[in-house]
Amino acid sequence: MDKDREGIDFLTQKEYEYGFVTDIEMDLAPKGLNEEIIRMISGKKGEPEEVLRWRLKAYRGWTKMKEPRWAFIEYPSIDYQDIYYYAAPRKKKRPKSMDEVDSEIVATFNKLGISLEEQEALSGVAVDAVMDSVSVATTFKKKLKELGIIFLSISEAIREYPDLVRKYLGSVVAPNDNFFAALNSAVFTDGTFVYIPKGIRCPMELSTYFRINAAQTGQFERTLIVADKESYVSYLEGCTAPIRDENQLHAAVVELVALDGAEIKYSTVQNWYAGDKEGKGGIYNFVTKRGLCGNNSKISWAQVETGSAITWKYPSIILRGDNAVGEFHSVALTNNYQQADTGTKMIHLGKNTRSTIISKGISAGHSNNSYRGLVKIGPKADNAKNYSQCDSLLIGNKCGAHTFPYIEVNNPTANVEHEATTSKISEDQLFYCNQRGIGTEEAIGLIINGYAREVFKRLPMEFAVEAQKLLAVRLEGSVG
Amino acid sequence: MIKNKSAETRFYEKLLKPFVKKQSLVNAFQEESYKALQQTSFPTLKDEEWKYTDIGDLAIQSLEPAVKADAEKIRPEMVFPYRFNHMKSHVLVFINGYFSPHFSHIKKNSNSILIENLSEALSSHPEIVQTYLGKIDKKGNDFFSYLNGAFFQEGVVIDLRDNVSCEIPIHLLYLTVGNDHLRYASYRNIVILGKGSSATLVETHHSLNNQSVLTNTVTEIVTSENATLQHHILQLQNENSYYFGSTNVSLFPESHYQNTWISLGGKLSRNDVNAEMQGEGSDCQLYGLYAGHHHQLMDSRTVVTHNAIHATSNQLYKGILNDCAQGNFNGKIYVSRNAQKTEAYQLNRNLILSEKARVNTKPHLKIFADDVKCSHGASVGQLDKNALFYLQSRGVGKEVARSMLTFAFANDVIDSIILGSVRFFLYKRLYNRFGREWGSVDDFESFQTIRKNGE
Amino acid sequence: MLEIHNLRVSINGNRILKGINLFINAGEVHAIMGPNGSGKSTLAHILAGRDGYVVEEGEVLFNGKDLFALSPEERAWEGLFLAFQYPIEIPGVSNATFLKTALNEIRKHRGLPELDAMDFLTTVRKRMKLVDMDPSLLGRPVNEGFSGGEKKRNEILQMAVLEPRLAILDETDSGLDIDSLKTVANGVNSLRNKDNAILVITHYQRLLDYIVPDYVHVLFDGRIVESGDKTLALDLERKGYDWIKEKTAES
Repeated sequence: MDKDREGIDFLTQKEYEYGFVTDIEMDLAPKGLNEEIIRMISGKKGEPEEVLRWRLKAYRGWTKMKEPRWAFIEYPSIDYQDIYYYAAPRKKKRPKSMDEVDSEIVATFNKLGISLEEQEALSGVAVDAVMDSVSVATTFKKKLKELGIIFLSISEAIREYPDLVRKYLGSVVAPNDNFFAALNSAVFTDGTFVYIPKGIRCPMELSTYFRINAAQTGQFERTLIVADKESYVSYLEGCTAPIRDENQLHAAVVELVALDGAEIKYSTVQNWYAGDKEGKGGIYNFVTKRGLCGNNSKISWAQVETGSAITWKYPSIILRGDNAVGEFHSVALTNNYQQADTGTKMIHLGKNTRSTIISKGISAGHSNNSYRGLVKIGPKADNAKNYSQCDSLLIGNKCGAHTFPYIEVNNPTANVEHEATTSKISEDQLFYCNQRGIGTEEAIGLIINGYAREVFKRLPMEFAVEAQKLLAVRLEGSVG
Repeated sequence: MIKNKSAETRFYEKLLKPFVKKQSLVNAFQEESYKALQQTSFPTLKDEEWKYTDIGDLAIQSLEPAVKADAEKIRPEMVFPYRFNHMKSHVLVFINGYFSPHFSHIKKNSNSILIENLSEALSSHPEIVQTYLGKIDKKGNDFFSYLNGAFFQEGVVIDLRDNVSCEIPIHLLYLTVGNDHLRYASYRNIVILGKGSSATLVETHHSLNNQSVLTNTVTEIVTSENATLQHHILQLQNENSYYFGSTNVSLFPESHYQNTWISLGGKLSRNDVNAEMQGEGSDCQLYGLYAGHHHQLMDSRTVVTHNAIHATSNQLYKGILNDCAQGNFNGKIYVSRNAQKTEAYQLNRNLILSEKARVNTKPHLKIFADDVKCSHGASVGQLDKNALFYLQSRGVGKEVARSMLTFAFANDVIDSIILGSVRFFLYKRLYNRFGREWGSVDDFESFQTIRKNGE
Repeated sequence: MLEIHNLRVSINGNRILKGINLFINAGEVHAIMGPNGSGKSTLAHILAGRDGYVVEEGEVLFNGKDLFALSPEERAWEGLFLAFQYPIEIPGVSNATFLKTALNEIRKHRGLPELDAMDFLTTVRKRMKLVDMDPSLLGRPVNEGFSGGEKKRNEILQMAVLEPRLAILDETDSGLDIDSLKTVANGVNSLRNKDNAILVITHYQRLLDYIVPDYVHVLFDGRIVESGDKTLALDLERKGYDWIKEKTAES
């Protein structure tokens, strides 16, 4: 056992391999949040007056709101005046081609395994890279444009497609929806905008890669995806940040609109810096993600959450149209002193709406991992169906695994089922594997992958492989 | 939320006067509870523990102490139908918060079994009350718990010495007689089972007229090593009543506690069970059935806390909601770090039978130990259409088939009641609740026997 | 007893039965055979009154009454019994309660006095011997935890107790080993008399070795394409369903 533990310790101590800092010139606004700063951000972006008014309204709402504390997470109070709300890699204009992108930035993303060079991106994934809340490069733009697909940074979209953005921005997550969404609405600096025209199947995965680089900054990106009638898109999101002692705030908003007959798949591998073994540093991840389904449309969220010191995130779906389908597949792993309170909300409003929730929590170290989910069946949602399965796996006896489902049914034709189990990786299982010649690391990988397979299946291939490796790296060393 | 302090004090200010003169022994406890009560705001939907249970209509009312005179008008034939007539038992009858010695019947016991109403126990066995009062109920920050602590009128004290078995069940029969005002009847019970002892406790709540009474009960129970308590609570009050009951149990090693909660009555009933698994190998079985119709609101809450290794707990709560009724289940399993080898299960199933009925369920788990077996489940649905068709195809009419299946849905909870007379008593009421009669109670009993004997 | 005239039925817009004609008299045993998906079970279900099917054309008379005007339970009262291919589990309802309720409903309809628990148990125990069923199954919830064979025997027990005029056995042989098959068949045979009729629906011939039919019909693609006596079943067994397919294609 001792020998195993050594192997394990070695593994847990594995460095966060994305923890480097890129040395590039930054544009920083002064610390703190006030209307001045918001005007400045809006000005820098060259936004129309109405977007500024929208931001200010969100800000004023935010000042009257209280930080939510109902989640099962603990953290010292955040000083919102001690954060830089604007940090951007310094440059004059947005680059017109890849050649113009700062070579340091290209190198950064290369180091992260995200190639921005188009010829290498031929793997078929179009990438929008966002560093410290500012979009630095979008690949494959031309090819997508031919199909009428819009894929660019949200600040560009606000300038180039103001009507389209105006119609949908804030339509799913209202500016004052909650404390963090309001904060985001006030100060978001960039993010991604996607529009898929009627009847178009987007031929490649669209992907955004988020990177926090600068110190003491918050990242507040905003993503808006609109899939017009009968269209389809699969979207991937990845994120990393440097190792820093202090906690950094990330408060993003993602809005998905699936019009009648459309389908959106949204996959996330979240690997923000999680803090060190003692729980020092790491990202505070407060994210509002929500999708709205029209008739016969479908939205699927798939997430692999392994990073962040704190995760507060409930990707939700409002099934407003008849026959709409919502899916949520999640693997959330916490180790060391991480805390995650994550889950989903499925709001059934339309007839014959269906939703599935598969949540797999893995807790190790001193961490706490909670599933929190709401299934609500409205009075008009005849024949709505939900199935939820929320499993927890505990590794070691210093962590916690919690399940907080909420089920509200207001229609007699609904069928709602929730199941949850708790299990552990036992020494017997490991011994058995060892005895058959399978090393402890591999055995854990095997067991975890078996446990989370249902979710991995939902991820695009390359992502799934990455996610499996990520879990193994984040976990090994915690069994003993 | 906006229900300010004045609303809360208005709610209970009329209770203050009659309680000025208190028994010195419990004076301190009552005062402490009163202080805590004053600092606790009236529950609203914003409180997580009251998220789905709206008692806003109570906040604007004012509780009046129940009148003893009302209780004194009661004649024996009015009480008789509520007794389990074929079952030998110790019967303690309470009316509107007062003990009625002449309706009660406590059989002679040896010194090793104490069954007394609270006021009497306060003078005969003050040490028991002193030792346990307020010690098992640790909910904290609970409005109705403090309200009870401050104003409780009566109750029962049951104390079994080591290795004795109370041969016949103890029946606590609570009756209410309301009049024009919202009356308050409250009870504080203490049940202490010595090592290796066993008992069966049945509590039934009935109304003798159709007026509104608020019943507020707090029961504190200790099951010592190897003790066994079977505990059944039937809430069958009229549909203008309010019921707030809490049962708090502390389980010592290898002890067993089983609770069955049946709710058919009340305008609003809220039942709390808090079980603390303090001892290794202790076992707790909680069952609940809430069958609501009209505008009833039924709220079942459980908190099972595992603090010891090898303890097992199981919860099965079933709801059947018809008309505009609302059923809430709020269950928690908490497994602390040192409670390895815990087995804890929780299942909440609900049937919605009509368009306007509603169900909210929160089956929550908090687990801090890894070597445990825990699972929970919840479902909301309708009667199984295939089963319905199968019955119809065998000649059973649709209405009867529905009623049969509804009954079947409830049956495993009712089966958990070990006393035949109590089950029998309940079947009759369930027939009424679930529609047409489709068999006789005798069938049930004889089929029950077949099942048990496998013959 | 049963008259099916030009029955056309669809599910979700798919035509399953495309004009069935079938006449069954008291005292007769009919077998309907056919490959999977030919519409055999649909026919059984629609006769018993399962919803979800659309009758597009045709009529069915049972004892001279319009079957489609009757609810499933009314059909049962009239004496129509379906032995399910997949008997339904009903947790919480004991077999005894279930059967007694069904029996008394039917007796009521026939103008017979209801049985009390004792008389009922006497009747049932006698019938249980017929299908060699363990008496303890009576106290258990309907079909819950029953083995495949026990479920099928339970169906035949119900048939024996309810004494239908027309029993439809839907793939009753599926999933049975040969001993259980014999037991079930013996049970059915002992219930045969000149006043009732049996419609056996099956994919295989082997059940028909034990329940010998007077008439055999082959159902294929929603139509009865061939009718004959029991030798037809043997032909089918020997030549396989492709033979029928070819024959149908030719004509």
